[in-house]
Amino acid sequence: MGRTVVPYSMKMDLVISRFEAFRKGLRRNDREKFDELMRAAKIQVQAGVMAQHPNAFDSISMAIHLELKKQIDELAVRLREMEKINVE
Amino acid sequence: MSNEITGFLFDIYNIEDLIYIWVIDKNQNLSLVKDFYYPVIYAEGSSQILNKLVHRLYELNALLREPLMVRKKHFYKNSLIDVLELVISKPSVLQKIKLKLFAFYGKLDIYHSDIDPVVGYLYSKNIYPIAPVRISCQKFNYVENITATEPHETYEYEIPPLRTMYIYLKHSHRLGISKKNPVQLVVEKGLKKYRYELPAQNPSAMITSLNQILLGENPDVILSHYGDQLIFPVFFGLAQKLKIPLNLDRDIVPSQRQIKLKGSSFNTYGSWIYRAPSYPLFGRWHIDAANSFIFKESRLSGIIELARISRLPVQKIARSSTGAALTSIETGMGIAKNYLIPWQKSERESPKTWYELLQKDKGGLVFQPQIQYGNVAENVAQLDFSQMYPSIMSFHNISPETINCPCCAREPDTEKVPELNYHICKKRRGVVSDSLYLVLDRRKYFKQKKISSVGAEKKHAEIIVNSLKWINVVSFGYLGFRNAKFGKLESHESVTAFGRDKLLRAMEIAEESGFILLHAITDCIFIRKPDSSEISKMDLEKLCQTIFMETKVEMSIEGIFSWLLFCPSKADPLLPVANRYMGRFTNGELKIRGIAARRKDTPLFIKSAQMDILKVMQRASRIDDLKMLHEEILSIYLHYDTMIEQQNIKWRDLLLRKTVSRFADDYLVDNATALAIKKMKEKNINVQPGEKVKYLVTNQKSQKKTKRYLSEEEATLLNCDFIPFDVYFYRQLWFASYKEIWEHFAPDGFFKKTESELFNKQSELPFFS
Repeated sequence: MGRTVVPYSMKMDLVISRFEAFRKGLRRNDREKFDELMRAAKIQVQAGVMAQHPNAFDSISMAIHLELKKQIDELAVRLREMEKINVE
Repeated sequence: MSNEITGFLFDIYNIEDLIYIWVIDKNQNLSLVKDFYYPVIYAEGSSQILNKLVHRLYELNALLREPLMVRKKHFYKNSLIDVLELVISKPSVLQKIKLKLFAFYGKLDIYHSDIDPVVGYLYSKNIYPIAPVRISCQKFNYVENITATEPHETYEYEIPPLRTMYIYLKHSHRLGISKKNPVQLVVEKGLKKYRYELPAQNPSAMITSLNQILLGENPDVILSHYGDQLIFPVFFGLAQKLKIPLNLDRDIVPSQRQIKLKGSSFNTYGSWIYRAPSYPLFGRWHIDAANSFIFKESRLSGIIELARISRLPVQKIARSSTGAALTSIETGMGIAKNYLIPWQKSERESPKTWYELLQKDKGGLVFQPQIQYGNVAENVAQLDFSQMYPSIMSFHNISPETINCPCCAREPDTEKVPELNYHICKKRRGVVSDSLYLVLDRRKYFKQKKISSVGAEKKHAEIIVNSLKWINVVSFGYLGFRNAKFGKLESHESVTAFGRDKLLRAMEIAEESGFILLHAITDCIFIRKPDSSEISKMDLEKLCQTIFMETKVEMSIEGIFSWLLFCPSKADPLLPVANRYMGRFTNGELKIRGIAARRKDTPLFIKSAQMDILKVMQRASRIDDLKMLHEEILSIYLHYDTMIEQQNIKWRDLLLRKTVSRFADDYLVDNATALAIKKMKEKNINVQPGEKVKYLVTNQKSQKKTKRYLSEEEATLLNCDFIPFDVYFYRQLWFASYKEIWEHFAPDGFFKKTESELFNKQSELPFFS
């Protein structure tokens, strides 16, 4: 008895390690961006636990999209504010 | 003619079918009475197999009377089945049956076979350890009738006055008993303490002297430190060798004890556990504080409380895990419900596809701290579900026999487990859920008493609350534990499913009420307002009430943090971690989790130095106020750093503590623990996996590996308070502990700038000028 499947947090690490060679092939600046994306996935670990997709990358990818969407929305708000200031 | 004895059931044990009961009265007078007990077990199988079993039991002369076919209720099926009732005349046969249970698997089911005869006797008479009892006796003190004058569920009970003696060694137990490391004894009488030291140079004199002290003081309880692991086996071994009768037991023991100095080590869920050999006494309690988890957590009162409610004798419960207490409570509940009690192995997990496993086998939910606006936050409230998992098990009737029970398989309106869709029995309350109801109810009573009382009463209530807490803590894990008597994986999965559901609902309600969820761990949530403004207690109480109404699990305010720091991950400083945080509540109290001052492996010096910084931080109620304390905190750091540099610290305060995970020869890499225990082995000190070792770092970078670390035992033999240590290592450790709690309040770039300077250029401290 006990847990019979690998916890999502560990599966996430396995997926990230599968991308080790991919990361190695990136330029220094891109590597930092890659790490930021992986961090975004780790911060939403609870959503991955809830979903338990057979392929953990589905949840990782969705968490990354979500984080990017949040950043886009924040930038859009700031842009609108800046545009408003310029008009005034 | 019969005589009557009243008092408290002090000690109980059996030798075959004879039960020995020691009774102590309020004036500390002792009586020994005896009774007979014949355990009853039940067997289910084909008539051919049952005949074989009966034949074998007759051969062993272990049956008291002819077996009978009876109808009893099956625990999982909830239906009556035909079983063979066997009354055992020799309880020692049960041990043999227990060892054969695996071989019987699939052919023969045996019930009640692993109930300890003493526990079985206590259940059959409805009595319990430390019960106030009235006994009528026949000739030779044989029991005619024994009754408890109070039910074992009583909240308030009397404990008889007990004479206590403390036994320990002057230094570490690993140095053995010698002239330099003698056995010391202390007896408290009122406010006075009487101390004795046994002459270790002469074994015969040591045993004689011990006997005289025992005769004079006649303790009821011997509280030892490493009594099980070293002191008692040495005493018993010497007494046997020198042929001197030993007065440790009150009863004359018919058989000689086996002398065992080696304990057992086992690995469970990734960590090594060491269990020392066991040396209980007859007619007197021996509790080894170093070999008793319950004693460490809740002292003698906690042991007595758990012995009463679990009906396990005091010396047995002292050496058991809290899981054993829970199993015994559940066994009692099963007997009360007239079930056939299954043996150790619990119900098998139902077959599942890989996808089903993936979907159903999830744990508790953790929301990583939200640190996108920084690691520190102001005005954060922590709300806790009270005893979440046991409350779920009790409220939703989760027990191995109630989840997906066959009796409700076709019932249309049974309660369903969220996400999993398992059904829950609606025809009967579960053994686990009812057992936990008793524990939760008791804990609630003492928790209330803890708040309303003062002094000794408050202290006692605190101890009881803590001892019961551990039963609740293990209750969930035991549902999924492979050796649990009352367990089934589906019930284990159901608890976490309800837990996740309730945590998510709590988050939603908090968000609907205008809060932001900062962090959540399984059964608690950290919330703040969007603008980080102050939170009123009334708003939180209203929120807790709404969450309680929706989830049916009580939620309470743990506190409101004036400021809260989520420490970053050590592997990636830009990531938060769930279990390391510290903060100050609005009432001025600190809450710290996972930082150096809380960790068991941190040297005392570092712990107390970090606490000094925390005490200063405690004064500030806002992050801006905290930042103003930079100079004061820096001066504390420098003060302790100078102490390290000047080697002005006693070695005992610098010991690091680690758990040994292998035997000395099995370590492949020479890490600190390996080197420390290898050196100890050279000095004939053998350490087993699961044991703890403490060592001083003397010169971590030394070419000679033997010079790098010094174990506590080696240091003790040097007989001095100050030993030169690795200044660089301890300065680094102190710097890391300082940075851990101050990094996010110090001026920008302070640590980044100074860390490299400090450790690349050891001779100068960078920020002194």
